[in-house]
Amino acid sequence: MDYEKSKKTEAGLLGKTIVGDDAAFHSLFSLYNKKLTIFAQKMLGEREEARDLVQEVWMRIIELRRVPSSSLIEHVGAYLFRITRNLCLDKIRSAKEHLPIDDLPECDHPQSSKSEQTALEEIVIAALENLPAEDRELLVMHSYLGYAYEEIAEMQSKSPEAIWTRASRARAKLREFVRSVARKEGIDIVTKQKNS
Amino acid sequence: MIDRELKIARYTDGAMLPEEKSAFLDEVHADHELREALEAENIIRNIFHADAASIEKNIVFDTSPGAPLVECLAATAASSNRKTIYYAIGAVVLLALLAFLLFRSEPPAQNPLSSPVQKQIEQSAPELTTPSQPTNLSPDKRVHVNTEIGRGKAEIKTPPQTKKDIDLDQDVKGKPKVFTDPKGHMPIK
Repeated sequence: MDYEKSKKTEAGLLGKTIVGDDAAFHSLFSLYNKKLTIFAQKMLGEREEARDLVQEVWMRIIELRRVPSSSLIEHVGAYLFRITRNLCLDKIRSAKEHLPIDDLPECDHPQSSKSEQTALEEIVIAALENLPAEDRELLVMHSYLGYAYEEIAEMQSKSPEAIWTRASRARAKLREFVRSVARKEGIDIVTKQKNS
Repeated sequence: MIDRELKIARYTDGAMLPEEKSAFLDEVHADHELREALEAENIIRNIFHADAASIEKNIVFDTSPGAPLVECLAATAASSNRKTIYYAIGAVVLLALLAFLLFRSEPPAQNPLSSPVQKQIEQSAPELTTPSQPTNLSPDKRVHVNTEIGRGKAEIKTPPQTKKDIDLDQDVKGKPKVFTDPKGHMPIK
């Protein structure tokens, strides 16, 4: 019910944004900027690039002011995540085509900001980054951003069962990856969990 | 597989009922693989939450003048201001046009009796009146004048003459008509 209510509120904010209300744009920005940045960062693995990409998402929203019919968008969250996701996938594709990740300068390297992380955290985050983009986006939306699988299903116009099955497989894959790496590194994750 | 996944997810989400939870924990104690999976799931969730919090802490919106979003907002605001000015000018022009159409001085109404035809009628039959004007003439002597304003046309309707009024042998002054041959030499009887 709250979810439906917030959907309507957000659609109203977008409608006002489109007709030129900057205060409505600010509210929408405050609601989604962090979520979109986290999502983009986990999809791209790079902070600065994620920030630029999210700015581009917001610029597209502002540019909707030139298309009055866009006020018909009902699910603002889904719309914003879809733009972000598509931009991320474009970036990933072009990065694969043009710039190998090892060629990135040190300051831009995804791993460079993780010096304070424990070995296990590094393993888990690296495992997430190695998942296929579709699985990764699902886990980020659920585990990082707190969306229920039903909400994700609605956003992606898919059945909750399909989303749940995909998420289960992704989680199982991730767990298996964590367990295998932990074994290889000689870390007993059961003991580790107990100690922590 | 799906059943196990569902149980792990429900347990870590805190969605299990107390009796369901206790049965699941018994199962976990008995099955080392399930226990490892559950621990891995917990580790993953905790790491994800910590990672999300860390990323969120570092998100600072760039409000510097050169930032793309700031520039874009400023540009659309300027464009919006321009639009407002155009709309205002348009509204003023429209109002002025409406005012001109509504309050412009009307041309002097054309007097139907001032047309040349009407003047002629007036001179030849000064007693004639329009049907709307009261008159003392008997209905059969009235002359109805129907003028079409603006085109200068006039139609004069005279009451039909009765047989009594028509005498083919008399001219208009009442004198007997004299018919002559075409050359006018002698009257024809």
